[in-house]
Amino acid sequence: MADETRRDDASPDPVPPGRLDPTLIDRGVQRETEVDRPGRGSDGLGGGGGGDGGGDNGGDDPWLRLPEELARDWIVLRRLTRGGGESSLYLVRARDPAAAGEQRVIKIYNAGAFPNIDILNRIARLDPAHVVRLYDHREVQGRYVEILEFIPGGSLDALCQIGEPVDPSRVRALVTGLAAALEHIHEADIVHRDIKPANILLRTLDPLDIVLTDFGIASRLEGSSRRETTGSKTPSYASPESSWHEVSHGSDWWSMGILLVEMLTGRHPFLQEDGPDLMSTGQIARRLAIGDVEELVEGVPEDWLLLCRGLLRRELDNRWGADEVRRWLRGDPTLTVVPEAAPGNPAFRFAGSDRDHYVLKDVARILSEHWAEAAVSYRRGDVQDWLKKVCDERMLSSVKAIDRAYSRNTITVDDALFQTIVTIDPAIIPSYRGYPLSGSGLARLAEEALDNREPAPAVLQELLEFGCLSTYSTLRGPTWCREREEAWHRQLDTYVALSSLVPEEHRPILEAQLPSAVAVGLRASLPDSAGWSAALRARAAADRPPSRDIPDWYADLQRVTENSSEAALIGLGVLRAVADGEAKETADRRQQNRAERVRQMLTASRVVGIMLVMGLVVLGILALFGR
Amino acid sequence: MPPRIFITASTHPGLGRDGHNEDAICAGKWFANRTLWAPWRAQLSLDRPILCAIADGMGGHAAGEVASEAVLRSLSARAGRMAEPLEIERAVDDADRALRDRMAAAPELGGMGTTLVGMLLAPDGLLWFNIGDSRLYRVRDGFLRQLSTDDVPPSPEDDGGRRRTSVLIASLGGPPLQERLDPHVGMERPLLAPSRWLLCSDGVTDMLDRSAMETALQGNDLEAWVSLFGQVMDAGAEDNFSIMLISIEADSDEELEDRDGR
Repeated sequence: MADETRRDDASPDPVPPGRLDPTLIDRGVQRETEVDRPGRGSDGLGGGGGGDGGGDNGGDDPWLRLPEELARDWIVLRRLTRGGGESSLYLVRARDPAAAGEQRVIKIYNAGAFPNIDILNRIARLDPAHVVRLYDHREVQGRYVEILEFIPGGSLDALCQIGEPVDPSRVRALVTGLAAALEHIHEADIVHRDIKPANILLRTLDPLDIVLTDFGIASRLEGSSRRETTGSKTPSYASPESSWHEVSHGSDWWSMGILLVEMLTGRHPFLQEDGPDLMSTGQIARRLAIGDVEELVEGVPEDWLLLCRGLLRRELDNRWGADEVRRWLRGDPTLTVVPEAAPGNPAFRFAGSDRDHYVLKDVARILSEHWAEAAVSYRRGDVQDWLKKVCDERMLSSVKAIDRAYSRNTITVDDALFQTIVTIDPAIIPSYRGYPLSGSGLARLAEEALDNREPAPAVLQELLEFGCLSTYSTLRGPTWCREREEAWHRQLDTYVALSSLVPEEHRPILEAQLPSAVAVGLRASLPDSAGWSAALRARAAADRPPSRDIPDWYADLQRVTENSSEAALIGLGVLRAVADGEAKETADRRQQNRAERVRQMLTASRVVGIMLVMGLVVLGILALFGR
Repeated sequence: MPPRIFITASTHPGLGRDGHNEDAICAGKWFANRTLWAPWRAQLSLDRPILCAIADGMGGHAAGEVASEAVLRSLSARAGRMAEPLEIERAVDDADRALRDRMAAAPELGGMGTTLVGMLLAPDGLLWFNIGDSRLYRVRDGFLRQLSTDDVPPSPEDDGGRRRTSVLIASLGGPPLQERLDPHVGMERPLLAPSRWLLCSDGVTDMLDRSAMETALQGNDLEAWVSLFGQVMDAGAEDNFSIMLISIEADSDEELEDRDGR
């Protein structure tokens, strides 16, 4: 161990001296000795027996020890984070002398917290030139663990904490490195969602070479740890759209914009006017929603304004991305920034609520999520009145046309509200009466309708009647919506077509079961319905009546539906009882006929018998007299 | 058979104004600005245009009631000739000018003015208009949608449609005009039947918030009137208050008494 310590001490410090000089390694080594002192490290438990490491930092910390499986390979040098969050970070050193005392960071998730494994797998494949290397991740003794590269250079936070403008040449290097890193992760379909100084680590300060760490994992955690993720989504760097939970590559570029303003001016744009503190989350959200975003770049040097303004556009469509930043770095003179629309939308608020909303997308979302309140607001005209104040002309004419149709009673309030929501935010995944029109939302609706759970059957019927899916599809919604709706209609067509094969007296049964067919038809039309459909078909196949006495019309029906839609199978199912009844009648009738024939035969044979006997008697008498 | 309209209307000085009523109310040839303890009820056949309106007068020494009465009488006399928004604007302009002429001639009427909210019902549709803060609502499925636009200074303290300010930025008569009088006008064509509407002065809307009014308006026209009137009184009825419920039926043989609220 002494060898290892020396090696650490002797390792060349990659960070040049200066304010940023992180004496982490030295401090780490010092702690290492303290933690290891109880002598348990050598027995492979890595300080795992008892946790009173004896160090000033770890003595009261039961978590200053690794799970046994990890402790076999690693020695804790020190804990990098303390309390809070959904995980703990440890700086560790390899026990294996062959590993030359390599240092790593081990991230241990709290009990019950699990990261999104899919994202971890993707991160592990990213280029270590841009992101902290993820060596391994797996579950160890019930907790999820990541083994990460240790970057001793510290984070950009240290640069930003100084409170003075950072040297522009250094900022330029950051723009180059950060833009490349963002482009790289975005290509891998990962949105970081929490770009901020503390998550940008320095491989070297001069020249500035950065890597990204702490990937949006925290905000993608599943399970009970969600509430603890607030710290990881930092409002002062978060984009306007993140307040309505929209995730997009653009969000990372916004954060970069804020970061650049902070570095160039030495002052975070959301600092309070009269103090060193940041504004409250509410104040920030309000400024993002209705404040003048042009004010955010106040104090930025002239030659940086274009870049910062380009990154800090409220509208995602107008915000700069990798391409524009690259062009800016090249000094492309044709680059422009889309001017921001005048801020200052009036507030929209549900009656009885205490929350104000200012932005169309935000209002579209809350209308969609709070259907009952939204319907009341629509009936009272509050929604339309607000939209009249904030919509552009083209959108307003659609909003007015919908409102007019509602006023004239040609559409219901739910239909009007739905159309309004998709008009003001075509990119939204809208709801209809509380059911999101996503694959899973529709599947839930169909299944609840099959269980006859209110109000699902009625909602389904309205959805079909109003053609909500194609309305949504027509306005920028996904095309699958229209395709699914067409598939749904085809399903119902096959169901309706069944009635031509069914004797007239049974048609009402088919009509009565139409709601089930509507639900099954929708469920079977959704993407990923293959398994569900297969199960339904298997059940239908197992449910075949014995073929002998089934009526002809049902046999025809069976033949037709064999390869037909799932909705048609439902028709077949509901008519099964009728067919069974008829088959039983036929069987009974046959039985009766047989009995009758036997009786007749018996009667006939009795007559023949009697005649025979009588004949014999006559013959006997004749023979007697003949003698 | 022409559509029929059912009207249930009243005006009352309220409890805080010493029995002095500056509100006025009219429907067709009917006009009232004296206390009505029971509502005036009528069933009219819509074979020609009918004007239903409320005016809330202001100004000292009984001048307010002069203004509200004058404006309503002048407008209802022209109801048959007001088929288009432009004609309404002209009629309102004329009424305003007449008020100002009277003020000029009789100094004791100085400063008198009035709000105005009205609905012109015709076989082919509805036209509504307002100046000031008397209101028109459409009553539908138990909810109120305000169609008139309040001429009041913008205020952040909009509490569920309730407002406690007596400042108006527009009225007929009143302080000398800075600019041309510009009534808010809206229309609904063809006629919306069945439908139900509420006209009222600020003596109602200052006392009750919108949900209280919605609750009161359950039931048929008479029940709704009784409930709304009672609630304003219960709330203190600090100002003159006028209520007019209008129900339009396409063609129905139902009698006034057994119609349900819509």
